[in-house]
Amino acid sequence: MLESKRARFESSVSPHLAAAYNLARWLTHNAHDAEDVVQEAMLRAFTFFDGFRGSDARSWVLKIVRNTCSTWLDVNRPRDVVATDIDQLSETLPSTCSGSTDDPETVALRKTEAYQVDEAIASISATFREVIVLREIEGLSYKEIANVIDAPIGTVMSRLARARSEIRRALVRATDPGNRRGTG
Amino acid sequence: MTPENARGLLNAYVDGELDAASTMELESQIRESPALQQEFERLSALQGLVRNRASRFDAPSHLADRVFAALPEARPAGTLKTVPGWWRPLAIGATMAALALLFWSVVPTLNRLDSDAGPREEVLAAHVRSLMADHLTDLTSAERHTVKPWLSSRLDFAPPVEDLASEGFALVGGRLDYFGGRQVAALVYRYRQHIINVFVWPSTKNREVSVQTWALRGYNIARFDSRGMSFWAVSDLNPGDLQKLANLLQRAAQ
Repeated sequence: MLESKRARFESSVSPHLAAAYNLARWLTHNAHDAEDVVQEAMLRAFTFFDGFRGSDARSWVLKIVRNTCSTWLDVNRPRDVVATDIDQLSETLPSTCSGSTDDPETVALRKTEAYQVDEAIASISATFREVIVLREIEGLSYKEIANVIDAPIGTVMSRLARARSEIRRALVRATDPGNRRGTG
Repeated sequence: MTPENARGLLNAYVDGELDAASTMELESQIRESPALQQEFERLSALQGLVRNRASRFDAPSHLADRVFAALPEARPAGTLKTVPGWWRPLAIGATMAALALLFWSVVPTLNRLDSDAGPREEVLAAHVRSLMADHLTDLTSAERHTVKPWLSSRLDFAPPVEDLASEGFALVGGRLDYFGGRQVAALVYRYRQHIINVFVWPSTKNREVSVQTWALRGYNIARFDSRGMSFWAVSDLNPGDLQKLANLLQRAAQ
């Protein structure tokens, strides 16, 4: 029995590992921690798998990853939920965007739009970051996001609205040199 | 709908999550209010920027192995000892035969819409039917923010709708269709004098399948899978331009 549970689990979960990792990576800011979180989440998922009867395995997997992340952040980064310090966050930004510091090409790369967008998303709190990642990067519907974060659709809508206005503010701050050290 | 309400609904609108009635009401408000129009444009631009530029971090290739290797042991230790050694290959063989039988008998029915060549005939029939019956669109609109919520609210999935007018493929509208045992979305595009039906339904494959094309009785068909959806474009358009449309749609869907 256990053998077939394992096989069923692997075939249900495998297609969603990429989404699971991306969410964990965005929430932990870090590749190594994201891997640990995904592994822990999948162990939990395996335990609960007998109770999973739904058809939407992706939302189910993401929900467990999200909850595992949330526990993990509480323990490891109690202040992360309110983190707004861009300088501190830039150390943990995507490896493709950072690199050795003085190389002019890297400096140019750091200024690209993609870098600024990533930085803006990374700068908002996890509560708002997760809905943006689920919506814009993973393409989930409001209903699916509501399922993942266990909140009403109205909350999904208001968090997305707030997330977008914060991202917009962060982008404006990043592109306006006079405002770079602003207090926002 | 008050101006405050309208502002609050803009996010749902750009996400294609607003129902048809509110969409129409909001669109008329947007037309009347320059401030709302500006807010809508800013929000759309921001959404486009985030969608197109934000990183999707690739999982390391060893992640699946690592995750599945960490699961509890497949069998409690000792169970196997009670089974004579010669019996195991037989059991494995019987299981594989049973699985093969199951696969052979069940999977073709389940995946009728997902087999690579399967629905070509049905796709072509639906295309021809849409032209013959003078029932090309249920909703005629070149605005993807109108077509998408209209379709989403009538289907159990949300088909991606792209405006490709800048590439010569003008969005004409959307239609509901039914074949292969399920509802499908039909997006109608026009390229010069050619009508193109793009049928979309959820794929069970969950992987990217690149564009394939076929010719069938004078028509051309192009298909691909992206983001959990199967796309089938069919038209009397030449295969090169149809493939171009499929490539544009696939790039937009990713």
